[in-house]
Amino acid sequence: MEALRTEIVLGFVVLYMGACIGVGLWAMRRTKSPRDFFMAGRDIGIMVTGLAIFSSTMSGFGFVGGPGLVYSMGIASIWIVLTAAAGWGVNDFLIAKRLRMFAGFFDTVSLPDAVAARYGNETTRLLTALAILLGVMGYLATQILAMATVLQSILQGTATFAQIGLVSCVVISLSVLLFYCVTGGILASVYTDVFQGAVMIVAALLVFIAAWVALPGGPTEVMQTIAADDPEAAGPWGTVGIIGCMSWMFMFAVGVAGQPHLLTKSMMINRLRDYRWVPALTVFGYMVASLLWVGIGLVMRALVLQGAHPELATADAAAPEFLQSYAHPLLAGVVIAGLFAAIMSTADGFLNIGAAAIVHDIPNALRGRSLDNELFWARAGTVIIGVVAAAFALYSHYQNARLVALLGAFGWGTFGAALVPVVAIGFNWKRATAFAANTAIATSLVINFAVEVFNVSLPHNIHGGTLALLVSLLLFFGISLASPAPRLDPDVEALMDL
Amino acid sequence: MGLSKLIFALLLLLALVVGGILIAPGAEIAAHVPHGRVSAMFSGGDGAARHASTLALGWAFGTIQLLIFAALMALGVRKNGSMRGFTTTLVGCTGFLIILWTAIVVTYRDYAAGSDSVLVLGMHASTALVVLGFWPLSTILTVAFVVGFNRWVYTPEDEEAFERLVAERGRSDGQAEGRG
Repeated sequence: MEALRTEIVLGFVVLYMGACIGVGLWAMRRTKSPRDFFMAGRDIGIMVTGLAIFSSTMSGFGFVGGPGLVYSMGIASIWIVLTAAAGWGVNDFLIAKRLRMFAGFFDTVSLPDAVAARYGNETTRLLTALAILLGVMGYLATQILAMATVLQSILQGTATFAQIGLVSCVVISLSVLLFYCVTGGILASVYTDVFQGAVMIVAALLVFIAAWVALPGGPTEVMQTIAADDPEAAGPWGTVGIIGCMSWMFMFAVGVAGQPHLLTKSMMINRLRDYRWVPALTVFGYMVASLLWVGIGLVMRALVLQGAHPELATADAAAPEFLQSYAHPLLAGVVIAGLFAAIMSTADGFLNIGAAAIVHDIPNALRGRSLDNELFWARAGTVIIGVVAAAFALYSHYQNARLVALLGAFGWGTFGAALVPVVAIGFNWKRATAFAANTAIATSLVINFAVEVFNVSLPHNIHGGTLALLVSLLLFFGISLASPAPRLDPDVEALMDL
Repeated sequence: MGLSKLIFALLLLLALVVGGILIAPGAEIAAHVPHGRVSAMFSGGDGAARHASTLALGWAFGTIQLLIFAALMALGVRKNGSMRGFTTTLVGCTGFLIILWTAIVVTYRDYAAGSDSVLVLGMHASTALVVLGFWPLSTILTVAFVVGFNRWVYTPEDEEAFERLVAERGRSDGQAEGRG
């Protein structure tokens, strides 16, 4: 079976992509309006909502970048995993009910729609949509590049496709992604998320077990090996230090309440009272999937330190090399399919909210109504965003590596800094003003962009996104408290009283 | 003091701590360094030295955040009616987490000074407290959400009031369309 490793892995990938196309075809028949395309008709159940949110949270970064971080920095990145999951716990109390109420009452099809209803201000809608669009481009470009790179490495292992180029792999993987996103909209996205989430959970569990038996002494030997080499790496904040870890905690635990692709999915559940069970699925899935993140990273660090495995060229090679060297070919197939699942489940959500921004939110903010024949333009917009993001990804890869990095800066940290005050606080606090919301969004974008453009490194490993989030929250509260109390729409006031 | 003002005050306090961290000495040795032997790997170096000026600030950074999380959860729960059990649960859990967090920082201080007390699975006490103590945090929050949903988050009265609001809006939209 070992001789057929590449073929087995490729078989799993083809099966997985075939399943995504099948879901796209199924969802196409059920997508008849923009509300279906962007909000799944606000008619999805507990299981689908829970798994969709979980699988969108765990992107390809969790399956490749996560183990790489643990490999290079020891225990430190556990703080990202722990706090992002705990952040969901806080977020569920803070915003889930309120957003779903606004979505149902105002019949919104996007997060900026709900924001515009809350503040009664089109500038706030526009800024929210622009922040989302910038983030979507960066996230998507990196996800598309990751998808193509993994596919290329698999195909180059076969005799037939040994010479395949990156551009061809971008075309193949993007075509599958676009097919189900264009035909089935968010409905296809959330149902593929369920399938993708299940693959990720199984893959993570199996790999975690494989990781711990890779060394005869199990977890104890792993930790002792790491500690003997560098006690800090095995300490509670790894090589990053306490301030860096606390900085991550703020950005990931609080920032989760500003992730538009996740918030949008929480608005889609059919009955609000069913939301009670959603966090259980989301948190369970995320915690299980994160075992892969932590397990592979620690085990590969210990194996390399012991000299039992050759040095890695890059930290991100930790997961692929582990799968290549220590996982049964069938397990490697499941995990590679899980990796595609992780990447695509995040990318499809971004494609959808990006399309909503350009065909619904920005036109609404600028001319008071969305485009005519919105469903057609939603599909066209999805293709345009996918193709532009792919072009960015390829241009960056071949010509200017800073470009995607710059757009990538508009990722988790920027979404958090721009949208946490406006959404998480603003939907719970009547005193919040539209001016404060607009200032918070604009300031956070400027700070994050400046930190990236000027390559600013803050002392003691404080993350730029943390600073942006803190400043944005302070401005939001400060300006609102210093302004006269806003006069709210009676419906908004009634919803906020519940 | 209202909850929103409390959160603002905590954020100001956090900004003060972050400001203190930004000007704290020792920034040049705070960052990790490339591993001496293995490429693509970092080392933390001397933990006691690099945390000499920031361990207490780091503790404050974490503690204020835990208080902010608790205040944010309180901001999100229902404004009217029964809050029985919520405050007790929130205060109890937050208190427990602050004690746990303090224990992590204190045991780390000993670890950085050379203590080799191993708790479980080859991990020093401070690391074990993070992995085994903080890891279940999201589970605790989730259980609290599931158990308290009908009492604190979305009560049957909330549901009734929400459906009434939606129905009223439907009627007024219908009348507006009729007039149109």
